[in-house]
Amino acid sequence: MKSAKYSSLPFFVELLVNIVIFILCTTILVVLFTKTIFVSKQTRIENLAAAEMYAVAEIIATEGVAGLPVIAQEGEEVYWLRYDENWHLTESSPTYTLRISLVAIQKNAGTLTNLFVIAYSVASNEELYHFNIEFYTPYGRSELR
Amino acid sequence: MSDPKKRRSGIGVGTISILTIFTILCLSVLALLSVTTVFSETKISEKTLQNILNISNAKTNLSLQLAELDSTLISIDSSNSDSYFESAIQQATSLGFSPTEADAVFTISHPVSPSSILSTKIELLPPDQEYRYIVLESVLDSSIDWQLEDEQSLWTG
Repeated sequence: MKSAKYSSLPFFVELLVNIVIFILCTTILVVLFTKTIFVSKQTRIENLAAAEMYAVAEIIATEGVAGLPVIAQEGEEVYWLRYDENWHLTESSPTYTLRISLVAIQKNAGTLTNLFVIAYSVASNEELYHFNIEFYTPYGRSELR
Repeated sequence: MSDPKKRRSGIGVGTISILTIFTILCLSVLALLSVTTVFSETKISEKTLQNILNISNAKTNLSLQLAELDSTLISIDSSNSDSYFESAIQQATSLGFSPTEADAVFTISHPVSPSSILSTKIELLPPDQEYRYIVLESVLDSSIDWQLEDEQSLWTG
């Protein structure tokens, strides 16, 4: 009876030590997994934001602001676009927003428009990405007369 | 005395340790793969974002040069078509536009990355047209002169 009791002791000590080691290792690994998931999600959001911003800039450069489908205007030169969590345009409760600022500089023979786009995350109220581009629209000779 | 048959039937000392080590090893390998994937994803993303910025900068530089060219073209006397073209070509060349084999067609390049350029082709229009120039194409092109090598021995199956 006494011998059986002592023979199970090393087993339980080993089990206990293993449980402690396992908990420690899994805690570190879970933190690592959570971090990678967060970074991956953030990267995906930034990529989609940049792609959408570039697309919007190209639309404005070719068709002007009228080429954008859904718009909320703030003043004369600032426009907002609202997006859901999948970067689809939406009119209600946006997850992300694009702030488009247009500054037109009159030149001798045309207009040089400075387009500044910023993507925001509504939930965290953080800027995701921004970029600046200028495009030139010449006046026709009939407009210059 | 304990019965040796009974002692052999249970889980021996060390089995749990081996199983734990194996499980932790598997989880560590998965974590390493996950970290490697995210690291490469981030690297690609950074390059993509940088590329978008570089393209935007190249397009901005192009717009500024087009504005300068247009501003120069509008100041040229357009009463005589021939003299207008002569002056227009001279001005375009002085502003960095390179003439091509075609008449009144110019190209200009702006660097985007060490291996790519924004190549733009414009055509100067005669003075009777509404606009002074037209952008024929603006494309991303390779800046590397690729050399064809046919001496390499390739596996043919």
